[in-house]
Amino acid sequence: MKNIEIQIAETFNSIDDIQKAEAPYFFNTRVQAKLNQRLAVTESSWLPKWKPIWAITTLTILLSINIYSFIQKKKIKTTKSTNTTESANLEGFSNTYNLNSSLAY
Amino acid sequence: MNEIQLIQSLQQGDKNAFSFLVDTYQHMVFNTILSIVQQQEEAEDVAQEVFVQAFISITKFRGDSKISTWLYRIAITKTLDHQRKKRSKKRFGLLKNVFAIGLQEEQVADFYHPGVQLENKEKSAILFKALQNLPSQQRIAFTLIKIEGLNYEDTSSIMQISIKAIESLMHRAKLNLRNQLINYYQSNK
Repeated sequence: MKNIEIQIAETFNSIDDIQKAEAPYFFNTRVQAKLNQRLAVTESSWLPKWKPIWAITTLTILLSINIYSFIQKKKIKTTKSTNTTESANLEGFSNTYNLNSSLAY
Repeated sequence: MNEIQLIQSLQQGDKNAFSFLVDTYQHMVFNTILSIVQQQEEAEDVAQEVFVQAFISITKFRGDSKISTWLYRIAITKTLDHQRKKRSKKRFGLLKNVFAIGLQEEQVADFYHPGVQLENKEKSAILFKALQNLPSQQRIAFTLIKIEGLNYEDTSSIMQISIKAIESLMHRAKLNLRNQLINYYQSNK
C-alpha cells in the first residue's frame, strides 16, 4: 500500500512543472482561412434556411388549395346535375299534357 | 495595443486586430483545449472554432471581463460541445458494432502532453487518462488550475461560480483521481 501511495504522489507530481503546449505552425493562417470561409457562406446564404416549419406551412397551404378546389368542383357538378334533372322533369310534364302542341285554338 | 483598443478594433471588424488576437492568445487557447481533448488534430480544430466564434460574437462582448477570461469561456464551451458530440457518435458507433460481425473495439492511445518533462511522460499519461473519467466541471477546474496554472480567483471568474465552489470541485477531482489511481496501481502490480 505504501508503494502505491508513493506512485500516486509521483503521478500527481508529474504535471507540476508542465509547460504550455504551443499551437501548431501557421495556426493563425488557418484560422483566417476558416473565418473567411465562414463569412463567405454567411453572405451567400441570403435565402431563408429551409426549416421544418416552412415545409409544414407549405404543405398545409398546398393541401388546403387542393381540398378547396375539390369541394368547388363537386359543388359545380351537383348544380349541373340538378339543373339537368329539373329540365328533364319539365319536358316530361309538358309532353304528358301536350303543352308543346303548336295548334292554335 | 491595449485591451480596450483591441476590443474596439475587433468590434469594427478589423482583420489585423483579429490576427493580433490570434497571435496573442493562440497558445493559451490551444493548451487548454489540448489538455481536455487530448488529441492534437481535434484540439487544433476546436481552437480554430474558438477564434472564429470570438470574431463573430465580439459585438456581444461588453468588456466586463478580460479578453483572456472571455476566450477561456468560449474555449471551454466549444470543447465540451465537441466532447459531447464525440461521445454520442461513439455511442452510435457502438450500437452499430453490436450488429456487426468481427467487432473490434477502438483502442484509445495514451496521451503525452508536449509540455511534460521526459521523465514524467509515463506517469502523466496515466493521470491524463484518469482525468478523462472525471465529470466535466471537475475536469475543467483541475485543468485550469493544475495544467494552465491559473489561480482560484481567475478560475472562478472563467467558470462563473464562487471560489468556494471551485475549492469543492478541486477537492472532489483530486479524490476521484486518487481512487482511480489506486485501482490502476492495484490492478497493475
